Amino acid sequence: MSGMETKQAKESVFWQKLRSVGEWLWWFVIGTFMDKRVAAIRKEAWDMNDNVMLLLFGDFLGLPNPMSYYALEMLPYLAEDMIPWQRRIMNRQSIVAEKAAQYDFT
Amino acid sequence: MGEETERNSAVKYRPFTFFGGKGGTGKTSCAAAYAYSLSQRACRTLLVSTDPAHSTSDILGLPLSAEVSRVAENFWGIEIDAGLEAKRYITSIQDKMLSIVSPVIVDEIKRQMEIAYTSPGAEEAAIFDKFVELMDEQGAGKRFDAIVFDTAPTGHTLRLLSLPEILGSWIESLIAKRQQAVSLFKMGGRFDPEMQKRAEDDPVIESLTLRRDRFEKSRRYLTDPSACAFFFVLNAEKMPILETGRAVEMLQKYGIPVGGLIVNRVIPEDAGAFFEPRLAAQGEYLKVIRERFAHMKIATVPLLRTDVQGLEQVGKIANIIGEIDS
Ligand SMILES: Nc1ncnc2c1ncn2[C@@H]1O[C@H](COP(=O)(O)OP(=O)(O)O)[C@@H](O)[C@H]1O
Ligand SMILES: [Mg+2]
Repeated sequence: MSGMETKQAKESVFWQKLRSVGEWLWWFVIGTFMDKRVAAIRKEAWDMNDNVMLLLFGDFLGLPNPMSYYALEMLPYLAEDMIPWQRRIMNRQSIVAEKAAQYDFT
Repeated sequence: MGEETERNSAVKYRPFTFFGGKGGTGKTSCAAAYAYSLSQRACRTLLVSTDPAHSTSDILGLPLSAEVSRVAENFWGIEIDAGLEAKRYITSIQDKMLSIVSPVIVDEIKRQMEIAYTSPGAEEAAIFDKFVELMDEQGAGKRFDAIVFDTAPTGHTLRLLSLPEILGSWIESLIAKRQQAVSLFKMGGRFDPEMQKRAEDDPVIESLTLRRDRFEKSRRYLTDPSACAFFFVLNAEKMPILETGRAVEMLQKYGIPVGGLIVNRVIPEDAGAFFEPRLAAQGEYLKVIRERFAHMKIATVPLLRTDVQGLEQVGKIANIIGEIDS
């Protein structure tokens, strides 16, 4: 009788373990999938934010902007983003330049 | 007595009148004369000049300044200083910035502010903002019954008056993009406090909306035929006729009401033998003007013996120009 009990107990421990592994796997899959989704959304958010910066302050990068006078009044709220944004844009430019250098266009 | 009241109620004026045309045609003289004629008919009138050469002060024989000052009874004047207005604008932005971000960041982007401040559109925008401020805060019966704008040479003026339309669509697209970014921040920021902060009431959307509403308001003023009219001053010569035609079309395209034309410096018929060849040519051009702009009110102002200087001289053209409203 006691042997039966131990067998049952062993079985339930096994199932419990299996279930927890399954749950873990489930959350792992969900987590990865969701994280990727969230990461994609975040990247899109930052890209959109950069587009707004470009429309407002393109003239700081040498793009002519006839509205730059009025764009200035948004500057107090976006000043903190300004330096990182310019760095990002510069990086993007240098990446493009590097790629272009690999293929000899001349 | 009955006649008296009738004459008073017959005084026609609109809140905002613009005078435009090529440099040297007599815009400043005509704007001053028109403003003077309104003031003499008990209409509280402000004359606004944007000419950095201070020609309004010369013509009135009185120094005007960047603040409203009194010229005569019911007659005030102001000479907008575009540089000063732009400076005020930038200073207020810098003050606001210092209250929001650290001085280090302010210092880092100072150079960029200079770029925008000295950009080609800056002075026009500063003048335009001052126009709208005067119209909104002091015009339409608030402090003045009528405001008369003596605007800069044609090309600039037209660009100025087309600003609300161009800027309107620029702002719309900015607001849309910013809103998109904010809602993406909201979605992506569930476990990210920095993103969450960005998703709350966005001051950028707020101030973009404020600016858009101001443009819409100025556009409403400028396109309302009962509130605003634009008069062109030209001389009876060939080139001004072509230019005026183009300018009239452009204003109509932007929906700005054109009140009529003022042909200035018309040589009187009895000017003498010396002027006869000029008189003949002038007659031809006047004919062309009357045909080309047949649907418009046209006033002719005679060439005076001397330059227009002082209120007495201004008064001589005032009666003629005052007629353009009747
Ligand atoms: N009808 C006129 N008769 C004589 N001189 C005039 C007349 N209209 C303008 N003037 C003179 O011509 C010059 C230019 O006029 P102004 O009104 O300053 O032109 P604008 O503002 O278009 O440049 C001024 O010296 C002014 O006194
Ligand atoms: Mg002038």
